[in-house]
Amino acid sequence: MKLLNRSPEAAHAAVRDRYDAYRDGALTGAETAAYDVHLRTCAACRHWVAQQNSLIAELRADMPPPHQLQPIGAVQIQQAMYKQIKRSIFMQNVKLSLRTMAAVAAVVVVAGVALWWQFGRGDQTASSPETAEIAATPLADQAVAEAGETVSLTFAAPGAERSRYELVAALFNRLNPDITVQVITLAPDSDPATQADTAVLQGAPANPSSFVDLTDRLQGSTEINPQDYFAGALQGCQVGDVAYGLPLSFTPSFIYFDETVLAEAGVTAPAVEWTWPDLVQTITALSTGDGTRYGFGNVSGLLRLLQPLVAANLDANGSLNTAAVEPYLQDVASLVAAGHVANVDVAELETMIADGRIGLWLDNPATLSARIAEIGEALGRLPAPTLGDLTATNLAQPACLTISRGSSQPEAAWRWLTYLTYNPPELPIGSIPANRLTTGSFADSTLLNDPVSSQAINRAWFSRQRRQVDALLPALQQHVVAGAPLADALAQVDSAGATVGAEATAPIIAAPPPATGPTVIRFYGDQFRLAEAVATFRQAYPDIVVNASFDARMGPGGTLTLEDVTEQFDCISWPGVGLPPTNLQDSVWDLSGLVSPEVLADYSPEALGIVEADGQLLGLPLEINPVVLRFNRNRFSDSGAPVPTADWALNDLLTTAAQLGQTADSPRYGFVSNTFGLFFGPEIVEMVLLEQGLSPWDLAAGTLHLTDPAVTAVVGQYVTWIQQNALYTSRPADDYEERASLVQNGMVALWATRSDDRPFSIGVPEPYDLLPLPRLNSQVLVPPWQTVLFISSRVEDPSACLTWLEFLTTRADVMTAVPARQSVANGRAWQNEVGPENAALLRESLARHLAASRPDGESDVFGEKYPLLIWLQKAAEAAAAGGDLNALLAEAQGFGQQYLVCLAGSANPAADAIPCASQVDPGFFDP
Amino acid sequence: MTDDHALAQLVRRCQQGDLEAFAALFRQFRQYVYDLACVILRDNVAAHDAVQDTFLRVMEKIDTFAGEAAFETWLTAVTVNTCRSHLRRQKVRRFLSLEALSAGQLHRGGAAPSTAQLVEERLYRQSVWQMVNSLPDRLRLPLILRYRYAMSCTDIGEVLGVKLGTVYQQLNEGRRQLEQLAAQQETALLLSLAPGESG
Repeated sequence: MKLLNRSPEAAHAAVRDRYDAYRDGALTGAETAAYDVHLRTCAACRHWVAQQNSLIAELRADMPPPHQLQPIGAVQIQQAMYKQIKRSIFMQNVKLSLRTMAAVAAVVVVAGVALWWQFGRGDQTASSPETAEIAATPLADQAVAEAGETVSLTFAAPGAERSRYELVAALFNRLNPDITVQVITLAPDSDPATQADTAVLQGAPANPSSFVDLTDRLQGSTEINPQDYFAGALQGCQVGDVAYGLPLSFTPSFIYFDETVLAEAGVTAPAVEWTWPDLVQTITALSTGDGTRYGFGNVSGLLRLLQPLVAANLDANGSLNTAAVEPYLQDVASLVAAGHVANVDVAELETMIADGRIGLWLDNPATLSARIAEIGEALGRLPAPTLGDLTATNLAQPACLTISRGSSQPEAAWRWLTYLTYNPPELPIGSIPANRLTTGSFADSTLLNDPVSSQAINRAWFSRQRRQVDALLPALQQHVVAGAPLADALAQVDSAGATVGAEATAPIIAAPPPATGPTVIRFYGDQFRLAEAVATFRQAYPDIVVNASFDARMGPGGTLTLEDVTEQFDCISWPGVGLPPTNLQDSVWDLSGLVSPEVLADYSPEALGIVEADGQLLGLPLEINPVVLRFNRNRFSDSGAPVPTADWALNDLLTTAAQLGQTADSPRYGFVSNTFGLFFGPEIVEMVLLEQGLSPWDLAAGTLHLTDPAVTAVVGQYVTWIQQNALYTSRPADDYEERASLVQNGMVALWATRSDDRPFSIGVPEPYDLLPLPRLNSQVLVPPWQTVLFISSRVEDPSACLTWLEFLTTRADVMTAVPARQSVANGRAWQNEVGPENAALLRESLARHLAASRPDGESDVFGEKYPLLIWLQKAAEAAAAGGDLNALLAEAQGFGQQYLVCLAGSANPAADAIPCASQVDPGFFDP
Repeated sequence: MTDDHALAQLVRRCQQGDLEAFAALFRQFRQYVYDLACVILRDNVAAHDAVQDTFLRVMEKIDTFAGEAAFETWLTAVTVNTCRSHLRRQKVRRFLSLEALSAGQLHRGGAAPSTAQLVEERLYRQSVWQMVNSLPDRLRLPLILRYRYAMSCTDIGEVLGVKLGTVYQQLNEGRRQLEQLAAQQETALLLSLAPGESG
């Protein structure tokens, strides 16, 4: 760089170009000297440099403080990384060294301990972090196989959770090269004791002696610290004195209620610290006594709540001390006799709960039926009440890890189980890890912080006499329902638990079945709460794994088209207006003949119309997103304008907006239109004209009527609305932030928006509410946006994708707009998501939007009509600013006519619209 | 940022798959990566995800770190690239949810920003860094790296994957636009004061 030899202009430019290099000391000696010389001689450059220096000084002085990552956030990140790493290992995608994986596992376990202690659980003598860390690393000093040999083990897991165990097994296998664990799924009626070396069992097995008694191992274990487990959890995997398993997790039950039912009955939900008498009182208050509404359902559920008391009063021979239990049973008998407790089968009970006829019931979050879950946010829950002195009264169902007595590899099996209990898989919703150090495996971490759940966990009741107690249940029921004397009823019960201690023949473990993996489908989508939907789907369809992602490579030109995505994914969720044009048939499966008639019948013809082309069904609509209006309640009360009723029309909108606009010191806007054809200004002009039987243009005939007196009159009215701030209009895709800011700052009374803004914060500090789209007597609007599900034509067998996509269409919780399937849009779950009144308004909006959309489904806001709309808008804006409307419309008419001539000579008018517009109006893109 | 020799050893141990080294690396750099991600993404929640993705990428790619550049520069490049892909996703989402009104305020679950957040935002809006944030990423990122993290132009070029000359141009252009914005703000301030002064 030869600064001195350059022209003055070039030397000035060089100072600017090299300013940063100079400050970095990156110039050569000669260059630095030349730079200095020029500065000494050039006042303009000295001034420029001073400006830069001052700006930089300001940047440094105003530096915002560093953002602090909180310790809990760091732990969450580590836990998420751990899960991701486990997944990556499983997928063989990430080349990680064995030692690195173990390090991360150890770090996460330690972090989990730290978190646990932070939450105040340090009162129990748990393992030190160092112990936990050891548990996560290979136990290489206890070889189970000769050098170079590998021991194979089978592990039976429920089908729905198989993949989760496979992840843990993959990591275990990498850490323990001498053992290979294969996860298998057994048929529902097969016996894990004879089919697998190890298994996870829900509830006590019928034949506990078929499994290795772990009592001695637990007592002398250096790998397991009993203090790491929740109090009593180890007993949950015992029958009598036999420890047939190691607890992995447990699911606490809850007493559930429908808050709306309590409100109807005028009953306040009891406090978490409630007692048996409180329960009896609540049941009585909730019941109508005539069978219309019961205080509790069912009798057996109520008796189960007494099981901890029964267990506490069993003697060594299994005999019940009836005196201690009888008063409680009398309470139940009185409640039943008074008609306060339902006594029906489970299916009937579910119906009654869904119909709001049951006050309280005992249930388990893991098995809560879908019908009951539909109660949604109104579903309340409580832990079981205390029973006299007994506080551990909350029934807990443990999942136990077992070793079959027939296994030839008990040492390897023990190592696997101890590893598993310190590194559990992701657990199903509602399940708590039995090992308190493994908080990271909570599927629902809110359980820890929710007072009801933490009480249920603290009061969890585990019992090694569970089977004996269960066996007494029919006798107790006979006593309280039929009035049979308790002693007689109990006498009929066989001595429970008799099988304990009986030596079973050592079973033979079957050879593992050939490994077949699940079908993995790649799904492109970003639905609200998608991860939950994927997890639930996996439980229902264990043979299909959905890998969801919203990360696709853009195609050439820096845009992402549906065609690009079908190249990269198997099934796709794609939002848009109408079907994407061109060649879609080549990219996606024709689903006609594949989708069941029942599913098709669940769609309205309008919704299916979106995806039908040439007799083909190219996708499944997921949700449809109509225009709705929202309004700021305070602006209505300020102006005294009445809030329109839902049955309003275009004229009502415009009259209301005129009442709400305000031009004084603080401008207020009556109505703000929105981007991308959501009801924007010139469209309103067109709609008003069409309602009068007029039109500003006829594209088919190639004629324009902007200067017709009737059209000019309506545009004049539009100009007045703009001047009076009745309407704040702008062009599509223009001023988006500005309009958002007006709405957020309370300067707008009514604004057009899409129905799917629900999950996002609108950020309006004042109360705002929903109105449906007004009824429109014209078909001007762009069709509603919708999300459609497609299957890539590259997929050989679409059935797995179709199963997933059909499942997705039923999930009200993933929808942010109106569900396309009518059963979902009319269902209680979606109503709970948006509120019943809003659901009706949103459905009405959709019906009106579809009726007001162009029948051919084409978007013309960005098509041939776009330039005409813009010229009309520009003319109106200029007139509102004081211009001569007639002259402005004449100019717009002139541009428009030339434009239509240009377009008439085009083979592809849609593509040539903008080139033609900028050809006839060089200032087309100017503001 | 740290003692060079100790860091080089830590990185080498990571490359060898050392048990503790990766955890130590995370501990050492998590605050830096988090701050950078917050600044680039302007969203603390998204920054959490970005920290996670960044360290996962570090694990994946640490073998490719040849030690020619400083580790901090390499880590910054990984972080910036991770954040850029988050930004791209944000843009796609923003395009698809135009009615979410303000991209800066997308809060899933409907939680409104707290008063403290609003006050902080309001204060921040006055500052020159708020103006930096209003610039396009092409200009914003070089300014952030240069003035918040005091990086040399050569390092910025490496991190952003652009030529040195481009860095100079972008910094110049960024500063020019900042000055322009500051002048506009000054004018707006004067206009808003005018009635009071005359009255």
